[in-house]
Amino acid sequence: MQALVGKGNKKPPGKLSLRLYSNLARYAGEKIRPFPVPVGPSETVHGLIQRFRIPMSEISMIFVNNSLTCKLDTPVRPGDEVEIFGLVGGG
Amino acid sequence: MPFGYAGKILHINLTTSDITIEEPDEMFYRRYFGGRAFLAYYLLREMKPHEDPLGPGNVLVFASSAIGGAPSHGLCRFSVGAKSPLTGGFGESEAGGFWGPELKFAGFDAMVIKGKSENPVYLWIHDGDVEIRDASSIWGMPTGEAQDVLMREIGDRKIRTVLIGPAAENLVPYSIIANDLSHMSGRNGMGTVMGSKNLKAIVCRGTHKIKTKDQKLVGSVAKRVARDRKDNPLSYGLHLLGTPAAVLHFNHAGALPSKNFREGTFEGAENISGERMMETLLERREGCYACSIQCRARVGVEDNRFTVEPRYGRPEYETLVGLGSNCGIDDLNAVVKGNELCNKLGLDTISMGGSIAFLMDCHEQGLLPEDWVNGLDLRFGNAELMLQLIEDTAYGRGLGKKLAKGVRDMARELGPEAEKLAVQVKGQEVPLHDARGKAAVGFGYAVVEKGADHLVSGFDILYEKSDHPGFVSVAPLGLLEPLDVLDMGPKKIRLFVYMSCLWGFYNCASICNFAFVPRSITTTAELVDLVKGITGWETSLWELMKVGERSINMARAFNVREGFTRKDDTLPDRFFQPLEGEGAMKGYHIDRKTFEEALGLYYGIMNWDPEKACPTYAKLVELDIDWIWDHIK
Ligand code: SF4
Repeated sequence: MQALVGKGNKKPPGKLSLRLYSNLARYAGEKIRPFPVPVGPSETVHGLIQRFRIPMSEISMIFVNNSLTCKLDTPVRPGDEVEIFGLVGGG
Repeated sequence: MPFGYAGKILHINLTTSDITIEEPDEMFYRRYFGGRAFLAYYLLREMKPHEDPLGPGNVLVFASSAIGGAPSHGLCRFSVGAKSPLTGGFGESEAGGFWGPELKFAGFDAMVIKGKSENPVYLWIHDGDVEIRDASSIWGMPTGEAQDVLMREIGDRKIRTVLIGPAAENLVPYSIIANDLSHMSGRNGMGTVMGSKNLKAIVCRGTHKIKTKDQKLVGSVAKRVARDRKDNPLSYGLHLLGTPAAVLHFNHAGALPSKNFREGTFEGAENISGERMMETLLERREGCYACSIQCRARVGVEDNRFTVEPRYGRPEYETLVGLGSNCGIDDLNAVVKGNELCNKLGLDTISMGGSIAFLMDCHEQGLLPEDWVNGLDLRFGNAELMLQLIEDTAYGRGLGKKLAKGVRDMARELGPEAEKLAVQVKGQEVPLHDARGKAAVGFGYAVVEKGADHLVSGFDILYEKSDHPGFVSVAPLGLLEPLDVLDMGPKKIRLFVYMSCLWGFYNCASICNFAFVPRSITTTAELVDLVKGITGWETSLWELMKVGERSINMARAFNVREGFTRKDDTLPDRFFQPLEGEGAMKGYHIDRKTFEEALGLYYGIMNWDPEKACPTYAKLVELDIDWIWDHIK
């Protein structure tokens, strides 16, 4: 029943908020603030990383809704806040 | 003229006004290279043991290097050394910018200053000529005003200056040397030593070009870096946000120093972040001499409370956290103002911020006597008070008189409970990296000869993942296994030793670690090519790392001669206590036994006497510096 409702629904997909830190900003036009990203029903952290063509070697930490996740298959949904951290060395 | 270096070292005695020029042979340059090893060489040879750091017997050395100022990126730095008024040991501070290269264009690789002038003076060094000039008209002036006067007096806007502010004249032990107003020789109180010698400034201008043996080779490295700097994630990240990018990163990781290192996260971190600063205050990005990476910037503030002049530079990560979260302050404009005040008045933002945070912590713990507090609201978070205390410290007013002693001496006065809150090593306030979140950095705080310093071996996060570009870049050193950031075990100590030898070379060779591996883009193979191309020497990474190791042993020997022992290689109590607050690292602390074992192992790997923490005769022979044995046996 639910699936049928979904099928007939022409509403655009919902959006999550993505923030790419430090060196990763270049994969989204140097945006250093969070920005909205449309997501489908079965999106994962890994899907987002692929969509923005971010090399795994440039990622240090991933947070979904403020909690650190190490699993790339963590699902993400509209309304989520996803934060991906790049590489910093301090100074 | 040789390739790479000028071949001349300037010696100036401010008591007698004698000026002499030494012309060391090639062996001297190849063995010691420059920077830290030059400092240690002259401090060991030309200073008597146990001199008063503020007396005429202290020796003040400025050193570029055999390759400093050559036409390539990241070769702009110079080192300043003396016996430190803050630690009583080997004092050393480095800065980038343009002054180091200009000293070489003016004809000198280094300068050794002794004695004390009767009246305020400055030095004017131009194309091989040296004059000692009267500085009474600029004595007492903030750095910017003094620089304006010097530019007018000399009639050349292209001069490069190193200058002290009122804090150094008033002998605050953590006073800086400002270099063209926005690059600071911040640590160890080198400005204070200038102040004690009545030396207000050193102005350089030169037209000599540095000759390179193989310009094609040098140019090919510089070109490769200029081409790829935006593709390399590390050098690109530095360009985009600079060191302030680390504020939010460390906050999320739970290791952002907050409230005198009590906690590892800060609720106001976003407000003092690099992102916020670049969005709201950026004037323009800029870089140092010949460097394509351009990781520095100017920021300006116009606030109804105050304005900030952009020429004093953008605060780096250290300052944002030192005057910000570590004092519980999330008012960005006030932190930027604090940075400007420190650079104007001549104070080290790390030590200044650390001293204020310490007093705020003591106050909240009820450890400050009423005659210290005097009605001030010393709670964490008071931005207005922070700004007032910076000025009071520089001018020795009110509570500023206490702050001007630094954390170690204030804590001694306040007693054992306060000493537990004193986040310092060998008398130097700790940089804004929690030792509990970075094991090698923390270990470095304990053993480094100049007291707590963070630019020693690279951060643990560079070496924790096998595909991290930082980790990949150090494979030529034989560092082949990634290691956990919190690991202080034997493998981490081996890594620490190797990396501090490489970094030690950087500190001898005017090299900026934001341009070279593991923190940035230039590889070890390119490093060797640059040295070969500039000097013409047939060299190797092995020889260069030995220079770094030599410099560590020489600095260590200086401290041994001054009476330092194993008990000085220690960490503040705070890092052995659990992190408070709510962050990801909550509850974590360094284990004392692990730390002691690491220390013993370090001395073993270094071939040092484990009790005296001192190089052995065999080690000195191996490094070709056995003349030092007479100074320490
Ligand atoms: S990397 Fe940055 S700090 Fe280093 S020399 Fe270049 S511009 Fe200066």
